[in-house]
Amino acid sequence: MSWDEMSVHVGDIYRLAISNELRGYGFWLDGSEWQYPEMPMADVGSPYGPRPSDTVTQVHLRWGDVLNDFSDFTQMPDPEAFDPAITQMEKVVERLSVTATIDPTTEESIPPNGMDGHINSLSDVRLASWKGDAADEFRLYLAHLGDKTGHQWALAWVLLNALRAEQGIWQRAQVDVDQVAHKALSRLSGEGSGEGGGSAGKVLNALTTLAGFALPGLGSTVKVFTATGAVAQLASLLPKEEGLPGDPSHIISDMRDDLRKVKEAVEQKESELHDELTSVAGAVSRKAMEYYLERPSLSKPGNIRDKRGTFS
Amino acid sequence: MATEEFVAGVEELYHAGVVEVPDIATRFTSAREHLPGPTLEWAFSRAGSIGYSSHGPWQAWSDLAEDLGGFIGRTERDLIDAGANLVKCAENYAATDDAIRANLDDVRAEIDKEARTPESKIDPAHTHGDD
Repeated sequence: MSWDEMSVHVGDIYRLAISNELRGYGFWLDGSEWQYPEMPMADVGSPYGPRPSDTVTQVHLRWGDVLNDFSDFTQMPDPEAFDPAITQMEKVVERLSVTATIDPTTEESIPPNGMDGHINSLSDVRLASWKGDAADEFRLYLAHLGDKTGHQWALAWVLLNALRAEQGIWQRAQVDVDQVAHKALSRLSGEGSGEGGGSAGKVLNALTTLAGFALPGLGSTVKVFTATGAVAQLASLLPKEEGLPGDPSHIISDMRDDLRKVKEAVEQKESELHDELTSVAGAVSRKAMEYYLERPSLSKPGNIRDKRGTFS
Repeated sequence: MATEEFVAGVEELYHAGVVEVPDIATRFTSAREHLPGPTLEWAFSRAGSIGYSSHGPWQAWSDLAEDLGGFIGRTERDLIDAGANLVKCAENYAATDDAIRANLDDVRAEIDKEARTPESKIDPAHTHGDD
């Protein structure tokens, strides 16, 4: 559901809340005008004073905040805004993939980047007869290049999945907010409790420990980020106590409670993501030498002597 | 006059410096160039009071991406410089011996010819600027 559609639903929730409360006092709508019973307001249960117009005004004021209840959600990041960066990070992962790999989260295959063949060709053929310290050092450099690139790949993969998780958090938040709005609408219009949302019961598991995926400094396991599942446990969002059918007090209260839970869940998941990334950064900082090789002598200027004996 | 074995060794150095080592470096160049830059920050930002801070985990993500960019860039630079120095070594040898120079000219011509043949070019999936 787009935010334009959402604003339509929020407007409907506002109008239905007003309508349901006024109807509870015996009011009825005639065209666009609210008509009221002949009996005194106190007798029909209105707490807003003796004049029917005061009741109508106060009921409108009472539910006016409903229009603001969704305002924070209209300013959520757009999940689609992460698509280009995710595509870019997928390419980074591909470029650093020394061996054929299966992406543990998507289970799609990542082809090898082909550098292994070049490394073997260099060590076994091209540079095989080259002698000396610089030669030995460079061959050693090439021998370890695959491992270090593998560690860079792992880091790229963590970054990729962090983006997927961030996107997933906002995608699920959109779905959850949509369901909260629909649930409130259904209950206000007397069409049921609004239960039975397609994703009810799913829980976002933004951080999953993936055994066997090693990242230097973090041991043999690393938490990775999955992009599926609901931000909030929708089963717990369902009303704990059913109010009167269509009673706006209970329904709007439940709706606000649901929205608060979605907000809390989003904040918690983003916080987990932040903490995990910070943890990985700390591990990388402690084991930085696992991610690159010392600059070989061959790469340094001044180690090549020309025919006049001058270093360049 | 250099021995045939020595001439062949210099050819291999030159070939390694011009073809294989730079080709490995292109993987790192391409990876570095695909790393999302600071403009990604806007995707994380939100005006409302929702989520973890006003930019979520952007700073933590960005810091880690910067670390990775540093590692990749360092590897890329070392490989490019190593390749250049291998070529320089070979050319220095060539400057001292007619036989080596003649063979190196042949190797250059062969590499140039291969580079002009479309099917022999480096797999475009592994070079930057392909997308």
